[in-house]
Amino acid sequence: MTERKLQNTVSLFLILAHVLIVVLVFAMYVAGGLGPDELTTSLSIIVPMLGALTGLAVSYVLKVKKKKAMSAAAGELSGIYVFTTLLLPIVFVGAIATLVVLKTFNTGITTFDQFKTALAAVETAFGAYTGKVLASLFGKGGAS
Amino acid sequence: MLELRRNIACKRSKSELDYRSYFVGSSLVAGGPGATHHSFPSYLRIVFIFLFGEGRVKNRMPRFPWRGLLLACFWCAIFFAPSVMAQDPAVPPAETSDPLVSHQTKLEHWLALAGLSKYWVIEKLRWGSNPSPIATDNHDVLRLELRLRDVSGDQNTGDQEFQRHLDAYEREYGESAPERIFYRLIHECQVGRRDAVVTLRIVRQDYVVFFDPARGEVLLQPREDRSISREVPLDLTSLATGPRLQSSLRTANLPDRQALSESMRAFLRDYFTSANRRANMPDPKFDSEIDNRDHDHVGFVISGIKSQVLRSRNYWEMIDISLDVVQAPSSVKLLCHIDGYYAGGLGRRLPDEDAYEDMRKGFQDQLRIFADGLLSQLQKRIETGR
Repeated sequence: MTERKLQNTVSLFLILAHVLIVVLVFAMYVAGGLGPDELTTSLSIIVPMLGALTGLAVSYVLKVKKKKAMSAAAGELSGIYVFTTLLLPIVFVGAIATLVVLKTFNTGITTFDQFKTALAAVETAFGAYTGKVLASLFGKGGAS
Repeated sequence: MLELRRNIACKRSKSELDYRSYFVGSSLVAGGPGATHHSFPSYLRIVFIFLFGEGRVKNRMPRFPWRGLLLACFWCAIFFAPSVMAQDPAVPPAETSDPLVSHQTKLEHWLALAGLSKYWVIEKLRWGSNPSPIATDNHDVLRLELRLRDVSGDQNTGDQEFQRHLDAYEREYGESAPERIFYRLIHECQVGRRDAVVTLRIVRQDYVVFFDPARGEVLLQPREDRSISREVPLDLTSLATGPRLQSSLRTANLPDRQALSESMRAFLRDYFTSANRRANMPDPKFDSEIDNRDHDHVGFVISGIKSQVLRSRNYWEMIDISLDVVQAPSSVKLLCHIDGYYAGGLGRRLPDEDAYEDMRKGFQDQLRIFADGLLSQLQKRIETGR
């Protein structure tokens, strides 16, 4: 996989995931899975967690405004780099969505304090690594 | 040791031997002959061999990492299975070995929810002698001992502060704080009204909140063995609105006291059970204190219900309801005291008791409407027998 292709894929995934997680939290609130206080607190925790990563993706998207820039030639990436760069954001976003659903259905997580602790654990376990990988992908000089 | 491992490794295939002996050598012989040649990709290759198998790595044909997936599933099962299995709705939450400690913790949590923890701190919850002035026998009662926070100075200042707090709470919530604490105590600890007493310590003076069977009322009086003697009866008839409601019963068709309490219990069970069945939900859970001597009081904590109070929301609700029949000389009154709590949740699993929020924060009007409706139906049931 080329660097450009990976950047496009990951940025698209992060932006979509950011929107979908916020929609998921609102949908669960409307369905009665989260209380009013829980909605605001959840958003105030989750949005900054995702916002830092989505910010990198959006910055990249703004840089490749022209189609030519987006499809510019780029070097081939190693398999392990592609694997890690795809795995960490997927696991990170998946873990957040899973926690929201578990809390909503009172399965495994039955109080909001447990939910907040679990979110903090996910942030600790994956957030830092995901940020590092994405900074490498979208930062100055890209992954090369 | 190195030789032994090399011998064992000789039994394996040649290419596998290359990688594994290389790995053993590099890990055991720190700074040994091969140490300078260990490039990063070599280690990655070892990880890939573990994940994908040697043949796939050699042929550069990665396949799905079943081994990694199995390992991930194993660790997920180790971490999450106990908590998921512990959520069986039929299994009550874990209690501490001493039930009084558990009750005290829950009461402290409730005080915070009800906005009372800024005024009161629990000093003790225990069984002891009855401090109420009407105590006639020597049987022990459950005593919840509270102290008014942040009161300094003499007794008069403390009493004034106490009175200000009572007035402020009544203005804000439409009911008496001591009475609310008393009813919460009997519901939490599942005891009858005659078996529970709340003592409120203000500086050096103790006030006792207790149930007077003769008057059918909860009273607040100073303890007699203290220096100040002042009586502050809780006038249950002065509040016509709020979650504590009252209605007069026509006495002509009233059954005897025991039948009346049975009728009220049956009404509550029917009311909530039929509502759940209409919504295709499992039957609600009724927790009730047992006191066969007290026929004028019925109390339930009902959980596992939805949209009874907050009709436009799909929240789990928990209703703490007390029904008292007060028999005055010329009339009979029915008092209804309701606390409501809600928690988010889809599916059929009930939230933890700690997850509930007090409905007074934002849903006071809905609670009042619900109490009105419930009481009018109950009144009709008692008076007509249907």
